[in-house]
Amino acid sequence: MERHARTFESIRPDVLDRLLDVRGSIDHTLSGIPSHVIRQQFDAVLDRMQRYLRDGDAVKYRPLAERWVAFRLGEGSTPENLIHAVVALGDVILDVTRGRMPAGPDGAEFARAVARMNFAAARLIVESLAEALAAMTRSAGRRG
Amino acid sequence: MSRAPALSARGVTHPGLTRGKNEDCFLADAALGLYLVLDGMGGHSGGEVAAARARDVIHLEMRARLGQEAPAAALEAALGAASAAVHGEAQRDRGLHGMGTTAVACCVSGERAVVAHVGDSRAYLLRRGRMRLLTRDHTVVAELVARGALAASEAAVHPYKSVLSRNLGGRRTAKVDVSELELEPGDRLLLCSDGLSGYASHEAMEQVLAGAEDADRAADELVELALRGGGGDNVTAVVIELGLDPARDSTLELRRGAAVAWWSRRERFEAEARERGVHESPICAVLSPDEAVAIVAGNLCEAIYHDLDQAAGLHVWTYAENLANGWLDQGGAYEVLRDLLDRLRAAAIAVVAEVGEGGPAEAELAVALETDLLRALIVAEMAVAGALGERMRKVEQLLVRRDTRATTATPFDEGKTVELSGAYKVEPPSPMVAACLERGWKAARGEAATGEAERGAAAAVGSAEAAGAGAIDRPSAPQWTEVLDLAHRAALDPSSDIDLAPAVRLLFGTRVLGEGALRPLLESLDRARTRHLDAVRDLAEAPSIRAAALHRLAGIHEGLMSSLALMVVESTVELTERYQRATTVTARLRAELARHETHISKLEREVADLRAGEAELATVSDGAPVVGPALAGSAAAPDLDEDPDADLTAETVMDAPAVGPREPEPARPKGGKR
Repeated sequence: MERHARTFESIRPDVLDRLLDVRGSIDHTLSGIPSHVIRQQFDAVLDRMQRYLRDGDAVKYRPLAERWVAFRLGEGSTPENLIHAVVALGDVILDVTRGRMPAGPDGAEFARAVARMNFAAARLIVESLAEALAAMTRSAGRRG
Repeated sequence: MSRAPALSARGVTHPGLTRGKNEDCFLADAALGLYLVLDGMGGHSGGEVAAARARDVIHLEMRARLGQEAPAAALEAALGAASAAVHGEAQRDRGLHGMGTTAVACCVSGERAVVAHVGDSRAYLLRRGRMRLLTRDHTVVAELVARGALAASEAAVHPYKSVLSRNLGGRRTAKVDVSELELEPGDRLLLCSDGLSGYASHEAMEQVLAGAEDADRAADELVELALRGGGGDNVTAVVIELGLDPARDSTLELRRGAAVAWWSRRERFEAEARERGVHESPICAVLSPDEAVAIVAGNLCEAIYHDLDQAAGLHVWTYAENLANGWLDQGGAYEVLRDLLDRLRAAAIAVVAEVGEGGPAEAELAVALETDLLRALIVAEMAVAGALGERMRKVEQLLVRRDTRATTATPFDEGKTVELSGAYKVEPPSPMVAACLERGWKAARGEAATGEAERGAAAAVGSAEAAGAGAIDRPSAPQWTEVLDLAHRAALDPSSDIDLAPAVRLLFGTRVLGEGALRPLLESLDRARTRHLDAVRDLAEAPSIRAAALHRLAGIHEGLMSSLALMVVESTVELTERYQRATTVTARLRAELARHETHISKLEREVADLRAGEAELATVSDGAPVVGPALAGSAAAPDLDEDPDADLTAETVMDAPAVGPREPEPARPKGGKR
């Protein structure tokens, strides 16, 4: 929905700043990445989130989720950390929203849109993890 | 101005199940808004003394400073003063030498909180059901993780995970971390020692902190949780709760309204689930359709209701975890599980749509219900991710075990192909990724700036070598750049199955097994990997391109390292076999030697017997000296040197000619014939 995407755009800089502040508690492995690098990564993710709020098409973002999973697993994150990080992103957005938007129907609907987006992201991550597990299992079968 | 929400707090400490004394202590001064948890350390009574002394000093300092200074500055100064006091006391009393303490402090003023800490005691914030860590442990291992030198997964099992990098009292001054945060009505803050955080998972603590009725219950239940987790250390928890404001009350009312609206439609949910064929799922194969709907959909409905009512996630988590583990443990396919979860979600969303039918109030309720419902479903996804993660770790262990077995069972084979881990088998790089890899490689080698000059030099060297001159000395490249080049070539390889063994064999081939020879090689591999990944990470390419390039490189470097490990192990096998062969030969020779020594001693005994016999013969003769042939070295006597196995029986000797009449043979000890 266009209006949710616009709302998100207006709070995006605050969300980005907050994410950088709390990145260590989102995922320990993010602490070791230089600020400018992690800023770029978060910004790219927020950009996709904004686009998702506009088009609602989760399938389009599947490759991003797959790369995120491969990238983070390569960096030493556990599967549990991965999904926690994604959920934490949504929580940070909602935290910032509550500070910026007055309580009321608009805020509640935006919160629902973010919850939908967050669920879609979590589901994509689980799908990617399942594929990674299937690939590992196939590899084990070949080598066994 | 809004009225500040009411504050309530509760602290509990327990010595734990294995420690004789409690070196933890805490403070909860509601009037001052000051809350502390301290975990002392040091021999004898040092830990208790340090923690108590630091607590008292911080308390006194804050009383004096609050109102004069900003809370953050006051808290930092108070912890500094405590460090000086503890350090001074340890210097004065030799029995307390080396004592120290951790400290986590929180000062709440209105809707602001300041958190300060030194050591590994922690502060957490629970907001809207989610718990977040506010502090970073001052342990050696945590510092390594923060610097990227250690993975978080390794840190959890690291033998030095509890070694502090900072404490109060270890030095006169202490570096204190201070942070501030805005509180919201309904927030809960938790201060705790590592006796809690080290014996309970983050998720379990979150569930308890979110689910407890009030601060009193939360503190008690958290300590209970740590004791159930083993209680291997002193455990202390202080829970601070900000009361709900009227607006929050209305939110709470809405949430409870959503929970009730959900529960009142449980039959509708089950009907929707049936309509979407939940009972047809292979997961429900052993159940009748009615049972399937009642158990699978009914239990989820109940779990969602409880979590909506308590703003928690424990019930849905447990439901989804049991469902996923139950199915995956019997070899069930993930797709089936996904399909069932999607059907259940569709049924739930259909129920929510019904709730919204009516006026604006119903629509508002439906929005709130869907938001909370989605949060519950996200929790279910997290539980499924946990189940998948568990299996990923098991498969990884299996792969490692198989590789180890294969390595030790198979002798080194020059033509062998070392396979990349299946997890890193990736598609060939796209042109954009390949360009990114090229730039990353150049940046890593530092060629970006001097590329032209080096190309010129390389061309000159190349033409000179081609002409057979061979007189130009190319400066030998450091080893890590060799690795870098190998990795780069492999990364650009268009095939998805890359054989890294020849490259690694080249690196390893000329080396002698031993730490002195292997260590530089391992360091080169590590350095090349770090430079390579850092260089690509720092490029200005789109994140997706960099991610793809990094993924590929991570796989290549992992392959190089595992191939090297394989070769080292294979070399070790060869050496071990050689050693075993040498040991066998040595044992055989030793046995042979022992046999000969036994024989020699037998011969010596025989000779002694002969001497005794001849002496007796001499005494029965007419006084003339008797010289027996055996002792005279005549031809009839056996030559010991020539034939060690010669039969030196008494008969042989006695048959020899002797001077004088023959007497009956005297008795003599048996020499033991062969």
